[in-house]
Amino acid sequence: MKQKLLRRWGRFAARHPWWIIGVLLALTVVCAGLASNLKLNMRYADMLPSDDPKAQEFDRILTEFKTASSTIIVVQGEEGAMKRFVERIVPRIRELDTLVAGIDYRVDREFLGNHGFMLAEADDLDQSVGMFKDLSLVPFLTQLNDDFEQEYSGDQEALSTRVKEEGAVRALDGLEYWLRTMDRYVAESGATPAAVADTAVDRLLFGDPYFISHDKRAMIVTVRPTFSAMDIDKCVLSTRLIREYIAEAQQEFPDVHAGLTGTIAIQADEQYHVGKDIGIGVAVALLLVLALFILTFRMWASPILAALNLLIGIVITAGVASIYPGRLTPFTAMFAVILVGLGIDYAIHIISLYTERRQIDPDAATAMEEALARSGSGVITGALTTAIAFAALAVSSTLGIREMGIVLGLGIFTTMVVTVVGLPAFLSARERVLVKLKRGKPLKHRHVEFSFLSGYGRTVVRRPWVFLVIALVLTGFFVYQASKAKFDPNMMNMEPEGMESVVLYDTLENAFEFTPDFAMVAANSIEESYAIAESAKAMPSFSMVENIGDFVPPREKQLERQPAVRRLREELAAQRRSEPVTRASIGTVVRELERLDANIYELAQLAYTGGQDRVDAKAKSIIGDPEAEEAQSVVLALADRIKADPGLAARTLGRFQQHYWPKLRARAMAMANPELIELEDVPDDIRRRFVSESGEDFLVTIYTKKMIWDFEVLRRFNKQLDLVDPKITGTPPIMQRLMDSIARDGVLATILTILIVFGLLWLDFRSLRLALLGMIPLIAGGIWMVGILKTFGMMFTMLNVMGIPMIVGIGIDDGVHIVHRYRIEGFLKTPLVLASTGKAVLLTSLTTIAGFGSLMITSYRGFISLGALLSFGVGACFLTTVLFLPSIICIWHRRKQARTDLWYRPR
Amino acid sequence: MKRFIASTIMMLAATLPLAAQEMSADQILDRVSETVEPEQAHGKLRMTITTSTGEHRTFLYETFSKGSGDKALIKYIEPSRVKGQAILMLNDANDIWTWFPRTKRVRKLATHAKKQKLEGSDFSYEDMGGGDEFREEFYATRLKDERVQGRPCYKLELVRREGSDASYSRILLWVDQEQLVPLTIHYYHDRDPQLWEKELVCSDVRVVDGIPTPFRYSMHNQLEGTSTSMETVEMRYDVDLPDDLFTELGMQR
Repeated sequence: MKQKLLRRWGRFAARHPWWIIGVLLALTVVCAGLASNLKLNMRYADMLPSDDPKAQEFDRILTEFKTASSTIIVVQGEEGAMKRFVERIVPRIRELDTLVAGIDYRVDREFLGNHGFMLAEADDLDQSVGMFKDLSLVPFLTQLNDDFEQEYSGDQEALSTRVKEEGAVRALDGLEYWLRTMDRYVAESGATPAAVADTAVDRLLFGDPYFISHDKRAMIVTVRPTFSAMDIDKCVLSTRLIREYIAEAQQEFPDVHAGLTGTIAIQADEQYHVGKDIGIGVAVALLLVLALFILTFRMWASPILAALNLLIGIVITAGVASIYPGRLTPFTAMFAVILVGLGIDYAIHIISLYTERRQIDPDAATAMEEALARSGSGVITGALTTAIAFAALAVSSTLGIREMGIVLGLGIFTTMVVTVVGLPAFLSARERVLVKLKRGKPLKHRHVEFSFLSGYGRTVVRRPWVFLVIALVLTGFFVYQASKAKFDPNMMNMEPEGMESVVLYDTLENAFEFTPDFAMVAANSIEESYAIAESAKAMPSFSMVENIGDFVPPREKQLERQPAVRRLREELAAQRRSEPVTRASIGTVVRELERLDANIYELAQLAYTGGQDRVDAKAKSIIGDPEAEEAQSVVLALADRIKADPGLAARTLGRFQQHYWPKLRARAMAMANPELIELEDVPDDIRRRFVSESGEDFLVTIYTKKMIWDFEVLRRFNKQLDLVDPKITGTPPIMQRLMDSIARDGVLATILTILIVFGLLWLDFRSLRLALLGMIPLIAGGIWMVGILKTFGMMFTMLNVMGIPMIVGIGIDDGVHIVHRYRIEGFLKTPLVLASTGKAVLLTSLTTIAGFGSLMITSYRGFISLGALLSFGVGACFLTTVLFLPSIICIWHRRKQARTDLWYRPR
Repeated sequence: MKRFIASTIMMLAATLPLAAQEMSADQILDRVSETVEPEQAHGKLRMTITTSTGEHRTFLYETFSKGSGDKALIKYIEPSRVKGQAILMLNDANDIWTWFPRTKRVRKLATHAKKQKLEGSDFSYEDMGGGDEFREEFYATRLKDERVQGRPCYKLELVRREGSDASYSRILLWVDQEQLVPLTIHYYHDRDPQLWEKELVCSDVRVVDGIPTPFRYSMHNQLEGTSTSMETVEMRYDVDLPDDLFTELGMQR
């Protein structure tokens, strides 16, 4: 029945080629229009099942809190140049008001300046009351020492967490600036302007206002968007514009390096790279496939027609895919390249037989009829098997896998139909045109044979056991190798090599000890957000927890702090004038400085034994390296300078006190505001970061200490997130769920695909033994594929792991074609089967490898890994087919020689 | 007669392990306390920590303890930067002082610091305690025996008593049946008895002055992904340490 239909179609296509071509081209134009709506979506959250609660919550947060995702500008260079550069670019970026909601690059001094002490812990406040009791230089230094000892030397716990380590470094930084300012006053003999003391006051109270690394070599600027990170077009646009401004500014600051990272920049970069990769991949795949085709068949026109036919199939597939699923994901973005690799095979089978038949048959119509009758069945079975195997992935609950199954299944089916329907018409039309051009002269039809394949066939017939043993030994080796194959959970290793937004991840982790892969939870009330943040702060894997509580502390905490803040304010208010620095008091200044040096030394020692390297480094920058002989202590150098000329020191430090005292008092008074902080007091741009537009949700953001791209780190982090609140979402939980669901669905899909392929084979061959025989090279090929992957030192990735179910659908073709041909020619005709169908199978494998291999020249490393694995798989399936099938068939045939061959039913 | 003696020995041999097998969890913990908390000890330890920037740092200490761990003194020997620095822990590490030779000052570090990390390591002061703590703070249950490091072990589950301020909600303990030394300890998170926080592996057990002593300890923090290894360089229990060693003056000597 199938063959009858194929014969009829072959004759019809040969007689009415232009009709068929016209209909196909019209359909292509319509589908091309539809395909232009196809969007690229590289968000991993969108790959999860649509009802996944974490994915739903993630999207809800991104919609409610548009600033939850941001663009991070990482600036590197010399401290002063970096700060000037940042001041230069920020106003320009602010002009993008339709895209930029706000920019964080300095501490909000106004808010801190009005409420600073209400934001401090009650214990710290008690110390602050003492420290600000008398702002005159001598008592201030004395009290500073007392507090210093209590704060750092007295309580080791103060250095036990990252946040506290940060606090210690910031405090030391402010102190260093203060001491250097004192030194400058003494050194400049009283010529120092008041503005210097003003800055010293700010640095002492607030620390460095910029978001700068401890080593002062890197800064970050966070650009908060007006749009949700799900709006890909705006991600791309804002990233492009910000990059343009940075490039412009960099011309003025050639020694400053700046780049973008964060969710938005990564998405934009992925769009750019993947978009480029699709174009390059399809072009290179087509060129390689065409080159192979042309070289082996030694003809031009037919391969070009086959490629045209293939492009029609791809455009129709893209058109249908634009209706459903309506997008391309990391799993489907390269569907066109995969279709080039696979779809050309059908044309090869048909053209191969057509050229063969054209040598035998008198006219084109008969040759086409015979060619379709002989090759069509194998092509349809092979393509349907592949398409159904892919379509089986559609049962997966993971959207990424499901869409991959649908798009690839549809694509294979479409290219097969277009090839069977359209290629005969194209070939017939070509022949008509050529006959017309040559005015009725007969055309030359080249038929190419691979004689080495028939030679190989004859050798297998003579020594089948040798080839079977070789095949088994190699399979054993690859089983061993495959058992050691590993999975690389690092999603960053899928991104293009050197992609700026990914490279800067490392810079962020090293310089600031955080990564943009944070977790988030939207609390239903401000109280719930406090509780979640409190609970999160106790977890050891978390680097930092941000919530509205950082600006509006819980009421009970504020009430607890209020008396101390009041006391502090009263102490400050009571100070009407400063106590002058005299020649008599200068001795106390020196003693306090020496005491301060000892305090900082002890702090450095505790930090050293406690492994708090950042505190140790900062302390050493003040007192010098305790191990270095020539170490210079800023504190002791100042003390020496004072001792050298106490009179001058008293005058200059008196001037310093005159300059700083009123400012320090005024600022500390403002900070000691005992009013309870309400949500309304918080500036809009801060509030928008933590409170949803409706005012009903409160965002808590949790940062990990380490990169999450290690299974262990990821699982540890997520385990602790669940302990804090099971509804916490964000990149880490989403990635783990995606990996888990791909692992689960991937295994199910592979098993299901194998079963379906086996069922289809059984149905097609109507023989269990032949179906089992057809499965042998596939299963062995799959094992070889994984073994080769490991042998080349590669790992599975989240993308290439999908190559396993894919290869089940792809690799089965070789066996199907060979077994089909055996059934037609007889099981004694190994040399003929290998010479003819073996040639087609070799060519199709080579073209498929060329197609998949072209993925390896793309920039997205996920595609490279997929291309490599599939190329290994296709090559392996070809080798296992020509090693296992002929040798097994020969051995069986010998054993059954005496009897009627049960498998052979001549047609 | 010979046959009688032989059969008696055989009977005794058969009953000894039986008696051991029938020991309750509390009895095992009592025996553990005797081995892990000797009355007095003097030794040298080498500990490697991972710093906050991921560097590894190794310290060599001289350690003294008395009163089954009630008083302890640690003196740094290496590296040179901290040579002579000392830590004094009294009242089961509830009170801690540090001596800095360069500034010649003694600082009280903290009170009730037991839950804090011991010198940037994955050990807390509390982890350095032993059997008594286990008995006082936890309910112990004996589980099915298991082999650890190739040796038969009692497996105990300790669940924190209500009102206890121990840092762990649950502890699993594998105690060598022959030497009664814990070979592996799993500590579970303060807030979730299922959340495995740390693992301590004790190995290279040698008998010193009649007391089985692990010469290698490795603490792995499962939640932070960090490890601290500690190696016993020398250890003696047959010592008579003066009480004044465990004072501010003792630190400075």
